Amino acid sequence: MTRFFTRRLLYTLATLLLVSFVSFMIIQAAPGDFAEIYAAKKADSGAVISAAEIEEVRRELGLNLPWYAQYGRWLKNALQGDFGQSWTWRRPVGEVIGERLPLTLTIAFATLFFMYAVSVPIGVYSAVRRYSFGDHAASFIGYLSLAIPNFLLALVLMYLSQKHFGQSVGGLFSPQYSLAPWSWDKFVDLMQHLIVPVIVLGMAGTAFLIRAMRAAVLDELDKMYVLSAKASGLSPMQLLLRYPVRIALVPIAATLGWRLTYVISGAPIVGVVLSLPDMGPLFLGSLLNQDMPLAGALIFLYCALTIIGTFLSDVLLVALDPRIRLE
Amino acid sequence: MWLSSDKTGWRRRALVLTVFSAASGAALPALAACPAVADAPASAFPAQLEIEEAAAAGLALTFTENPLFAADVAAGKLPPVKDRLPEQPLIELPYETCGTYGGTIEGTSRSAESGTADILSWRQVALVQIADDLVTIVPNVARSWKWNDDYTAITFELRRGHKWSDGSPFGPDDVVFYFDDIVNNKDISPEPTREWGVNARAKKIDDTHVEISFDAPFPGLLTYMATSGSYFTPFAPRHYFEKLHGAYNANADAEAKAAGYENWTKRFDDVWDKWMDAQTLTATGLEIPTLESHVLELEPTTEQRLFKANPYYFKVDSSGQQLPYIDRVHERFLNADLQLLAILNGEIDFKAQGTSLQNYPTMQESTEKSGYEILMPAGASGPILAFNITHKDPKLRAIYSDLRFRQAISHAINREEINQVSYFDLGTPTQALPPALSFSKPEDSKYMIEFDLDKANALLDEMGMKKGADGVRTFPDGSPFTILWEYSSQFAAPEFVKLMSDYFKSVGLNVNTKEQTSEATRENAKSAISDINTEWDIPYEPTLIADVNLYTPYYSEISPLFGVGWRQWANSKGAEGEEPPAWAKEMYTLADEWRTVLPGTPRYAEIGRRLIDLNLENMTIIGTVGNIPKPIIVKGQLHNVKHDMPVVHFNYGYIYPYRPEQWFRAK
Repeated sequence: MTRFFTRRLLYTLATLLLVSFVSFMIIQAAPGDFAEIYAAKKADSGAVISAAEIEEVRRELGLNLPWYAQYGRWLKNALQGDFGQSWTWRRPVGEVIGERLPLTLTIAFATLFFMYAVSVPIGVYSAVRRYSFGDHAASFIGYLSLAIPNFLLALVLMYLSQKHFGQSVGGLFSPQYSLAPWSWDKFVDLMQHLIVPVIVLGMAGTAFLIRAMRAAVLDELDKMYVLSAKASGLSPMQLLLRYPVRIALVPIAATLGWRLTYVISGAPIVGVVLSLPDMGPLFLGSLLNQDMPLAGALIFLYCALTIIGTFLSDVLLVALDPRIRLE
Repeated sequence: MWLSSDKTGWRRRALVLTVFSAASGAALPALAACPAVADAPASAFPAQLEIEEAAAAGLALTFTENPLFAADVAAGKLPPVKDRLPEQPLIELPYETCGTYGGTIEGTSRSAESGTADILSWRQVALVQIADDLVTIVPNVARSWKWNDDYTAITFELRRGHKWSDGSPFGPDDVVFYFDDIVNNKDISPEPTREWGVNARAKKIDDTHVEISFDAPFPGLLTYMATSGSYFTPFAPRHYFEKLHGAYNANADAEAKAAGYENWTKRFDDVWDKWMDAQTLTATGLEIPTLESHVLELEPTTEQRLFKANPYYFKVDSSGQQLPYIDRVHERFLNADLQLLAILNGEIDFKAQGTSLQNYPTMQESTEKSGYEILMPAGASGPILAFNITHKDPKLRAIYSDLRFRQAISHAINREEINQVSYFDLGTPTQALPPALSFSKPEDSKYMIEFDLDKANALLDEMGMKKGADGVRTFPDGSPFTILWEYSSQFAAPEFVKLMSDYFKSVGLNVNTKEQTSEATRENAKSAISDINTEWDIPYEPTLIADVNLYTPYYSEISPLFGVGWRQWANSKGAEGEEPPAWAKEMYTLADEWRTVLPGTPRYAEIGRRLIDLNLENMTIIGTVGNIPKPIIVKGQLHNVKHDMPVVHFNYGYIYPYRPEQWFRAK
């Protein structure tokens, strides 16, 4: 077990290092640099920017160094836990991300909760009442939600909630609550704003889980032990929940890690579309501005969360399913 | 000297007024308790009074303050209002009426340093301001000024008892610090700047007077300070920045290292910024004192900034209430799409920057539901293009430098159509010309803009560019001719390029268009290998006063239109680059002289006039549609907003000329 963990951990670190290198190269490969884009934005608003001012920004940020020197400097500091200053926000990267991380995680975990809370009962129902109207309806909605890209769903739901429910779009609070201290009303406001992102992010995953849950329960329902338990006179509900569902839940629970990964990696697009104050728009902005320190740290974080999710899944599988042997 | 305030003049007029009102006695209606712009008493400058003028006009002022500060005053944390105001506050006449205190203004910008100039302009101060006629320079932080004879030195009178937002005195030292220790400090500013004049420096005369001088005459300084230079202020709180500065604090380096910086200059660079809105990006913005109408209240986040009224602001209304009326300004960072949605939802009280004309119909739909009004002042002028007269390729250069070619192009463009397709017919077809110039004639903007394909074809035929069997024109020697138009969407919208290429094709000119990055576009322009260069705007007059070379080749330093070699030649006095033709040489000579003449004088207008003629006659830059209105969103509850703003543009400091510190919310 210890060997398994250490090996996994080493792979994880190597992957992270590789990812940081590749992402740095990709960002560098894009034409222009932060100074150019900064100047373009200023010029766009009508300001007259001189070449000397652009050079000054480059000099201040060390953009005139070759890429390997920039990468080396970044990596050296990152290894010491210092991700530097975001050039756009002019604040430490840790602080900027720290501002957004709680909401990113809130949305991720709320979505996870939503997915499991919805999919498990429906999956079980579909399996037990196979080919009933309810099963077909669940399947239909499920396929539909798997097929709709989540950014499109986000746009549609955003439009509906703005047009018909008069809800303010963008952000997780209405303007009057965004500066107010925490209160019950503010909490309710937050919950109202969470509905759309959670549905959007969780829709496809939920549909997938319903199918998986349905198949797993169906597998169990035909087994001999179910038949014999039924014959012994166990009440149908008790039987269902105590045996087939419990067994069917093992593989579903084990995918928790992947689901987390899935939610995290889907979040940036949804976050951008809905303009949530999570890491998504921050990430896109940092890439567009070529804000290297921020973009680097965010890619690093996304990858780390993904890798941690996968790692968690592996561990859960090993822990829950005794059939899996290490070596 | 029309700019200098003649104080003996004030006194004389004041005396006359007093005598007059004493003589006519009760027959004269008493001055209203709160005179507005419409019933303004006599003053040297429109819509504002100095304290002496108010006294002379019989305006009795009792200074009162925002109840927001009452608790702090009662607790002794803030001095009473009369001690917070300067001894000589600026008295501002309201557009409608004296307002009531309170409320928050909801605004939005794109991001930390993107689209923030609008909201900065709501709270901005500078030594001087431009009045809402967009011509007259009026006092603001400075009470008056006096030029020397050759415009190489100007003395500003500051307000006695003026205080920073932390209560520390503001004075000449803060101006001197800005020049001596920031602009002229080689560690902080390695590149010399010309924006405040060549080798500008400052000298304290006495407690309220400071002199700024430069090596070459710069009479346009005040205009620059009041308009496109209003985003930077030539003063900095010395008492605050001294602590970070190596010249004043022997431990500055050590303290900077302890705070995680390499040295004190890095730290100073990080805290101080030339752009006034960049100083309020981080928590240090809470500590940096300011003279602006609102000061940062909460630590800024990636989502928003919050500003609170400055208790030491130096202006009062005509009833003696300290400005601003608005308690707080809330600036949310939203992307372009969400800004539009927020406007439609009625969440935004005022928005000038970044509202595109394309969204005008959409915004129009919700005006009633969300209770806002759309004002349409003039915004930017439309896109212009220039053929590369100084192309590296000699064959192309021969074509593009032929005046007939450029004139043919101007006649081939259907400007009415562009106006309809891209601007809902709200713009005006125009030749390339800086908008609203004081010295231009109405016919300048109509120079060779008739859509006349026959004329265009005749000009091209005359050049010897014969049409082949396929209807496509060739070089005069018969070899195939193609314009390669590499554009970036930053400088030209793809629809614009498409329309234009169709016009070129309609007179038999073959065009290949290709979109590329802004950087590549600029690099090609600098090395003179691009065929066409575009710019989406021509600056307004104040910006030209500060830098008229934006209207001579190469038109832009970072993205030249043409004539890079000429400019080198002119800058190096003939040592480098290539010799420009006579007309361009004349432009450079005129531009050099322009910097030394006072705006508004006959010689100034003469030079400007000649520059227009030289540009038009040589068809240097080709215009399309100008005078494009800029939709501005104003919520109904907001009062004292000037509703007939002539122009709203970065070049005029957005809303700064229209005195947003007097806005208030109706209850």
